[in-house]
Amino acid sequence: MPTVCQRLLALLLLGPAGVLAQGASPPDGPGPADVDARKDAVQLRKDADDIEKRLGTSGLLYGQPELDAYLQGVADALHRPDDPGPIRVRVVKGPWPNAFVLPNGASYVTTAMLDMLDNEAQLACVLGHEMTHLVEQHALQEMRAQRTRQGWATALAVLIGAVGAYYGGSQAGAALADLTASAGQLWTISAVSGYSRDNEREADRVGFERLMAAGYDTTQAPVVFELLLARTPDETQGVRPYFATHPRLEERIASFRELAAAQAGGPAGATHAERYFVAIGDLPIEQALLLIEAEQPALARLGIHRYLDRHPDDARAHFVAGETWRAQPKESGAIDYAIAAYAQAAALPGTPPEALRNKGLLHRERGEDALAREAFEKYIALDPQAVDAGIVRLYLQELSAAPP
Amino acid sequence: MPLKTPTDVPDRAQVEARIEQALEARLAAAGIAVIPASEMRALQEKVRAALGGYYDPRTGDVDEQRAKAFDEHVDSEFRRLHPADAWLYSRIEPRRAPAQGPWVAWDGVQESTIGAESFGGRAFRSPAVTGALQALSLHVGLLTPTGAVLYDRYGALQLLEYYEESSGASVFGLPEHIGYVPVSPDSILTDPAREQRAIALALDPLLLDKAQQDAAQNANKEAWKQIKPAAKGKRPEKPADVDRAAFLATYRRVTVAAIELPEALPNRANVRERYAAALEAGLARAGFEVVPPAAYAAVWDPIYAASGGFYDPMTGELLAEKRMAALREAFAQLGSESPVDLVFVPGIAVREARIESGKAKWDGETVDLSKGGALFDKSRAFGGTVPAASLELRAVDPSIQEVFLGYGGIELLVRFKSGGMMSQGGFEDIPMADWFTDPARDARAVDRALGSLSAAP
Repeated sequence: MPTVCQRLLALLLLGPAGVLAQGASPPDGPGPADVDARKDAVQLRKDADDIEKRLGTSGLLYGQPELDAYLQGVADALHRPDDPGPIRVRVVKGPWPNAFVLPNGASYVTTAMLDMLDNEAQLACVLGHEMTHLVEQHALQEMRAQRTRQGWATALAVLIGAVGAYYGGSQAGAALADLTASAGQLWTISAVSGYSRDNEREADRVGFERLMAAGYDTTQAPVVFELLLARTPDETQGVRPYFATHPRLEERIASFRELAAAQAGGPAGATHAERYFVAIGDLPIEQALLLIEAEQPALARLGIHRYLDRHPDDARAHFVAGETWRAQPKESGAIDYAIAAYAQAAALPGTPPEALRNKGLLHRERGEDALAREAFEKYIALDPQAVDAGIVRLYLQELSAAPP
Repeated sequence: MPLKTPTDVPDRAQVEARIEQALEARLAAAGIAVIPASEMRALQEKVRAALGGYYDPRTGDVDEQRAKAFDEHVDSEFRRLHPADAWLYSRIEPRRAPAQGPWVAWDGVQESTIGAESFGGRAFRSPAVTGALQALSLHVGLLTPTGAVLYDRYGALQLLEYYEESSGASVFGLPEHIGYVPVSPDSILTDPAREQRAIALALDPLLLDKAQQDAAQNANKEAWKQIKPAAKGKRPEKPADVDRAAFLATYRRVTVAAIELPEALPNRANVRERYAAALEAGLARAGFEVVPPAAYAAVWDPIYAASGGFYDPMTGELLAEKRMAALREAFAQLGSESPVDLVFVPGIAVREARIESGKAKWDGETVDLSKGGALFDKSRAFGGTVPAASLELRAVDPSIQEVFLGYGGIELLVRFKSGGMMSQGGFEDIPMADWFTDPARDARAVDRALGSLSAAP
């Protein structure tokens, strides 16, 4: 802690910013408020550049250039001629649906958000909203209004902290700690956890106008928030994965319904659902694996079942469905469901060998030796060079030696 | 689950056995049925043997894929043989204990930064700095059988170093020299009272309600007051300078192996090339006749590839005999084409940089922590150590004797951040992507590592 002398010295020399600035400015030059605003904007930009750089090397980016390009295309379609500059969109791994834009235009959408959405129009609603925050300089406003000074670490935990729990002590986790250490500014609270009510309303309204101008189906806008409401735990569960409480989300759903109703009777916009699902590809499978690691197997199962509705013959997806059950063994019937999912994976082309291995392990844990043996033999046949082939061969020896 | 301890803890097996038994007794006393750690240990041995280990023989690092398979199979077998409601893991971990003035406080314990027992000793003889001292703690956690964390806590064990007693300069506003004294190796994890305290700190919040915890703390207060600071050891002596003339007379013709770098370093190839050039130039400046590194690599690379690596995949430890045999082979092959007196083997070592008066010092390098002028330099209030990277340089002769070891500081692995006006500042890690990006540091690190062998002033 600074000594008393150090604190007093700081106050004497630095003083309130306005006092020093008044003495320093020429009479017909920029006033102190303008100088402060420019300094704040420069500092904001510097912080944003730093965070973008750190995110880039953190291992948190999803790293699929085609998907980033698709999102960029949607953002470009929402761009207005009088916008100061385009946003740069990238996908970032995250267990909770979120999207945020940094004051330098770097914009991020989490894999959880993309997994949750149903079509391109909903994605456009999210991006249009974030673009408006950037264009209207809401981050700068929040910073200068000096809203709540609660710890930035709490705010960033809304998005990034949860990802940190997933990555634990890994290098990405260390990068996260590094990231939160440098984002010690108020605007990051707002950028990730939600701006003031007025700023959110403005972003909703102007974002809606962008959606309309780009030819998207505006009835999809309230649907985004309905999906969020369904995914957002209430505060009694102590988690706020997106930036709003239930009451705020409900308010915004109502607001969007009003906006959409005002457009009723106009030309129907496009949703581009098929194009959207082609673009995200097997992201729902990767997202389910991330959620299992983040100890959210029920959420993982939600996403993987939606994917299986569209791709019922995807062996890998069935395997991951089995993994979601295996991660919750205390749930009634979980092991039976897991074994069934692995069996479905094994019956389809492109069976992941791990499906057979894990099926064998579950049978072995239950004492179902014949079924365990069958699964392990198929595993070794499918992947004789597997990293754990030696252990599985040991199991087969033990199972062969066991009395019937 | 078996206790994990750092590999350099003295009498490791005894420490592990003692603390495991104490943990099991503590849990049993709380009415919990305990499956002994020995059961898990036996399973781990079986799975490890069947897997063939999980360390990369080329680097000694954990192979993530194999480690994951190891965990999966151990967990599955344990669930099959010993259905349990939860698993308790325990580890002894190195920690950085925050120190301020006379006190260092970490993981439930407060001790003197100078190892003083009396109030007067602490108050007037401790350096007036903020920083961190190296320490050990017991880390205990509870997992579900599928790996979800239910509980996680640390209990302080002991410090591994102290500050030297203060000269009193800070009372007069003068810069304070910060010295460090290691704890004696004979005093590391040898006090059962400290272990009992650590177990209580780590486990009581799990096993006892608040009222019971308060009662236990009161009951333990007197016993814990009797715990003495660990004995001080000797400060490591600076190795004697090598007689440069005598060394050059004996070992004239040398070559350099490729520098060992972390596998995950993004600019690894570039850093390798740079250090090959810097070492060749530095050794030449020092007066050696240098056989180009490329000539050594042409001999060494096939030998290394054929060896499959020098680290034991079961333990991650260096198989010294295997490496020596490979080096003998390399010398023999060089002898027929380009005989050398020495092979210099470079690597990167993580070392402790000592902080003093706003500077970090280690292995011949000194770095200013803050760009600000002295009046606003918050880093001056800090002491302790921070991690730093150094060039480690060993030299081996044809009889595979190590005849030289030197370290040259390269760069800090953390940076100091002043923070806002009311913040006292602190350190943040530098991401690996930003390591070794300044070629200007290479030659200086080489000269420092060569030490008295270097011709540099």
